[in-house]
Amino acid sequence: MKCEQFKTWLENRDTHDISEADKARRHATQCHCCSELMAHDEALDRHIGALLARETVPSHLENIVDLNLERILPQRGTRSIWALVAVCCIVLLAAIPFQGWITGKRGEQPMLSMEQLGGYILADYQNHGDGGVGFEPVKDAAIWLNANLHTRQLPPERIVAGYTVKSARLCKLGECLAVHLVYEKGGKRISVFVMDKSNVDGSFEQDRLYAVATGNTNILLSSQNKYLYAVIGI
Amino acid sequence: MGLLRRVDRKKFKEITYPHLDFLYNMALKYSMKPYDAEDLVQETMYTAFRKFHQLRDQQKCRAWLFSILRSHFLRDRRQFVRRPLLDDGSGYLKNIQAEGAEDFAEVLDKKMNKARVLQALEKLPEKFKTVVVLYYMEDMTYQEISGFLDIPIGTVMSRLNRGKKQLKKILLKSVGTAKKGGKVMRLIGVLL
Repeated sequence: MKCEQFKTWLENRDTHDISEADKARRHATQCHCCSELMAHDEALDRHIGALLARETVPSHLENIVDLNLERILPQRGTRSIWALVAVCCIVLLAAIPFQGWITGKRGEQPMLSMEQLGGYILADYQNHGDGGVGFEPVKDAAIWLNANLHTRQLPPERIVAGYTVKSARLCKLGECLAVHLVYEKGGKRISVFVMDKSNVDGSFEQDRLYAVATGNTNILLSSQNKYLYAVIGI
Repeated sequence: MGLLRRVDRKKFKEITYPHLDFLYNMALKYSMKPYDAEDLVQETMYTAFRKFHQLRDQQKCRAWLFSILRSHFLRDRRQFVRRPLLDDGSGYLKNIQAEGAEDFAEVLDKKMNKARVLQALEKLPEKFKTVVVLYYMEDMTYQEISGFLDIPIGTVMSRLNRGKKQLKKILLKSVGTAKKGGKVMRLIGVLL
């Protein structure tokens, strides 16, 4: 192999077969200039490789990806037999404690009167309004509600404006399942109860604010879609 | 559906998160900016999560994720990529020949830094840049690159060859290793 052929091989060795490489290396052992050229080229390769090495991933990247995935809405139009089977199993397993929510057999669930509703809300607020034992810390109410109630619908802004959600728990108002959210603003805490509107004996217009007096305490009520929101402590 | 989502997300994380490092570094080589690379990775993982059911073979998860990342990059490339350099096919070795051993080592150490290499990389067409990065950054063989990108091995060799040639030519020109021309010009001036 001559020097010109060697240089052509050196520049294009990714496309040459092994037999050419053997000839080239034999030539390099006999030609100082070509040997030096190959050494330079290989040094250049090593240098590029070192400079293109992996960099450290930012420590917050995984967290950001996590948060993005938390906010993904449930896929629509996704139907599979296994998903249907799994949902049916959940419905059957949850039949006794969650019958008011999942089975939809609302006729069997005794409806709460406004007086009863007020009494249960007041009791739960007085016993658990500090948001301590039994509560889960919550940073994002939409994520928690989606995970526990399969809804991303938040309490109306008009009743929690300026407050920050702190914690949440599932609770019972009589026989009716509800969510007890604790909000805070400037050290003051309020409780927001979320329940299925059909469990309450009353007619509520969308987004209208109602007030229920229970003892000396006023409870504000607001309805959105199928949920009823009750605020106490304001 | 909340319970199902939790199971899927956990499995998704177990299978895909080990590849975040690789994805971020590939995104960085494409976009050249850490914030753009983060955005590209987030978009990739969002799409991957929505299409997780399409991943049949978990062993090919990294290649699958990379194909999504590359699709996003190519779709949005206008905001990432400057016009790639046209290749006239000429070699780069002549730019090395001018230097002696010690001088060349000095050039590598003092002038050829990461910024220069990344600037040179940015000028490569995407199809060359991808194989070059997989070759240098991941130390992949031709066969591995071929399997990863699902392209023929001959195509890998050809793109790698052209990519490396272009990269080295741009780099060596940028550090000014070709000096012979200058000396000849001065000699002509003296003779006249």
